[in-house]
Amino acid sequence: MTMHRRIALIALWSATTMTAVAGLDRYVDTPGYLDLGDLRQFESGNSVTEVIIPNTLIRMVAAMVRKEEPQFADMLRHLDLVHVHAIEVADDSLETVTAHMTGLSDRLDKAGWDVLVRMREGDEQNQIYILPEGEEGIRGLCVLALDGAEAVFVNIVGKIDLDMLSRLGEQFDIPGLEDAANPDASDAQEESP
Amino acid sequence: MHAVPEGQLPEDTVARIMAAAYGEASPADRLRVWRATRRDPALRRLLREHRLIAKAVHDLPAPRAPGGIADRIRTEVGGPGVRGAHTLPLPRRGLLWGGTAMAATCAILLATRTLPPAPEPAPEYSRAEIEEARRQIEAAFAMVTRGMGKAGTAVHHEILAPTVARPLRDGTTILHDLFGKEQ
Repeated sequence: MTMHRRIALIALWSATTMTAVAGLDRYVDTPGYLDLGDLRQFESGNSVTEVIIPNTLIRMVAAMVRKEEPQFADMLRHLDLVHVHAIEVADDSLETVTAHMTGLSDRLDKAGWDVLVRMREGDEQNQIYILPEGEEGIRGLCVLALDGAEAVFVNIVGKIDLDMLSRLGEQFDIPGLEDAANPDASDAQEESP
Repeated sequence: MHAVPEGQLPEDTVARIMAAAYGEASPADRLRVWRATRRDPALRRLLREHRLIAKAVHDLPAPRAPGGIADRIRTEVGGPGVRGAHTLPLPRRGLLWGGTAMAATCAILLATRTLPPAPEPAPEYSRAEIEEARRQIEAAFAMVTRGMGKAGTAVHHEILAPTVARPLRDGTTILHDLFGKEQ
């Protein structure tokens, strides 16, 4: 076995293991799901946030908010998975992270996803892909964003009403996922002048 | 627990099933749901899932008042009065409880014979975990919106400015020069 083949096999094994460990393996065949690959290899920075919200928990959230926010609940009912991985990018890994992101974009292009947003401005890039379903439906959404210091990968799986998501997103004018994952930090930030 | 793909079902059917699961459907709707779920195993499964979720949310522990407050309320409402609440004489009370127990036993026996087997239990999440998940979903939605917003700004700066605003300005200058000369 050649060295290259051995490395490829190890990479394949570790990618499969990562997916299984994170509990994402059951979504592999779900339309709209994107395997983000092994993002832990880039986690050299201080700030790392990975959020995996499976359909069972999403439905619990929907059930909890259905009285006070029926639109939000209705949207959640159709979602299967919310997966977010945000990493702080060290200078020396910027190139590999960009290459990884380009690889993901290529895979999405080949898999028939539509580009909703493709923006590049200096070190900053932002891509939003949607997987269409039928005439106007959307079965999945991916955000690949890099602003030099931080890379964010978002995959929302399920039937998505983009107008609704956009309206709700504006409504949730909140600082960022890293603060949502760490409420204490958010409080501290709000308290500071 | 794998979810039934609700996206493939008509909206009003799903809404009716949810209302039935949460105990909010009208009697007519309940009848419709009952008929529909008898015919379609997928709908039956969906109803069962929503019932499980409704039950799990309902069973979440309610926030408790601090011990001191609860004790004070009990004292102020009048503890002794509670003791005197049972006014039925003992033999009649026994008869009443016996009848209730018999009815409950019959209901349970009937239910176990007629109802389908219970599905696997829903995973347990605490109220704090559900609240946290909600915040994270909202944050993910905000990220998508922010991405779209940035694109909007880029379109405005990079496309509209050079391709629309500049020729428009040049055109206005030409028109101004032309009419200025004619006058």
